[in-house]
Amino acid sequence: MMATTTGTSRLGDTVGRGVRRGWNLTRHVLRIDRAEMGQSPRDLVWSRDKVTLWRYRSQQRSLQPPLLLVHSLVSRSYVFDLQPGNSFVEQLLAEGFDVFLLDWGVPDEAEAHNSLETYVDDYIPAAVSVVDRLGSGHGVTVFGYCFGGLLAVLYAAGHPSDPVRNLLVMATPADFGQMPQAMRGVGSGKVDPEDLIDDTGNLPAATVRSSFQLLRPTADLATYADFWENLHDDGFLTTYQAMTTWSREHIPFPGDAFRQSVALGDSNALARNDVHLGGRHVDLRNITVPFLNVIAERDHIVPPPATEVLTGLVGSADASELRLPAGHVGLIVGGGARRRSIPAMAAWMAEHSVAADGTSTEAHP
Amino acid sequence: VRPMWRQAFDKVEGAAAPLLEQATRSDRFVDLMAAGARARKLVAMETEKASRRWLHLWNLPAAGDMAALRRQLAGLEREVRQLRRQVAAVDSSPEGGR
Repeated sequence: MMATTTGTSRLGDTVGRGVRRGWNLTRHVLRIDRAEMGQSPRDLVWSRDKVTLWRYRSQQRSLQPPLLLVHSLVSRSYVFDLQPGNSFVEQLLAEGFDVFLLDWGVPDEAEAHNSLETYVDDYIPAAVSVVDRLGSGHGVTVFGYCFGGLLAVLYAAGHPSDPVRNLLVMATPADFGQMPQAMRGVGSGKVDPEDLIDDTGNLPAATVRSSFQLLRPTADLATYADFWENLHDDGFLTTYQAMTTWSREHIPFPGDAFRQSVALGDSNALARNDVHLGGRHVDLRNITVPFLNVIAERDHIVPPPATEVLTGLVGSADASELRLPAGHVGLIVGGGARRRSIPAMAAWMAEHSVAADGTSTEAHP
Repeated sequence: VRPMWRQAFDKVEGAAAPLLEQATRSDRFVDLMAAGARARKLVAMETEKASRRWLHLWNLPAAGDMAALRRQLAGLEREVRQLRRQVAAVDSSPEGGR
């Protein structure tokens, strides 16, 4: 009798699982009820050209200075706010931070002549000024991710009198000699950047994506296998859709900025603190504000040796490293990010913040 | 416990991934990538040239004409942006309000 009940229950489970797999596959193929990204409510507070600055709504802005997220030039910024319950922004808002996001938009021919100076000396300073004003003049914590970290560092070094209160960079390339070969191929002098730039004058999004695929040639196959194996799980499907959409939605790299980045990688100027922008030396020792270099130990895009040099290059007396057991994206997305990475970064930011009314907090003894 | 097909996949993938990653890290691969990029650009240019000749026979615009037009528009957009910045700078200067 017992055996029959167990057998029936197992059969029921199998059938139930099969039905869920069938339904989820139908949903996925017919694009029904797709995962939606970037859902946290926010307001546009400033824009210039295609660049937009967003402020996330919150009833609990208890910490100052406000936080400005600076994203990479080659991917979509909604990775910061992937899905409800799996969102870097959402978690920081819950901690009491006033969060702003600088979104570069999708470049086309009009951005082909955007150089690194366009970002470092124009867009970022303007955005920092707006954030500082809206945040009641307590300064700004600038937080750069990946290539956005590089831009943030160059900005902070080139504009030492700007109201930057803290600087965090996460998975930021600095020593290009330590970057993976697929990323260095162009800088090695073998691949001519002009052969990669299309007739819009930019590096096409497809080429950007291919360069990431080369780092892990079998990753897409493994992702499909994960999909097939976990198709019965509704939660998995939602996260899968969000992550695969993000990782396939790269954006073109503005041509002039790409050429400069190749030259930067070729000369490895950042690792030698010898970057020149707009005809002047951008000296990283000018960065004297508290600095945190967040390193992902399993990062296959910007491996730890490619980023750890940065901590010693800045002039801050309070410069530290935060090493986390995560991959490049796992720093801000997924269960590990929710439990370990984001709380660790938030703790550092809280230590370097004050209560919004100007009094000190427990987090800032 | 992972299904058998997945265990088999992981075994094959686990063996192939390091080999493929090593291959993409080699100088030979970078050489191939360089040659591929050059060839692709050349083929695109030649195809465009051939189609342009044919389309112009019929007084039709070719992809190259459209690209040139888009570049011209982008140039204009950049000039407008520059002018907008200059106007904003004048407006925000102490004499700007006069």
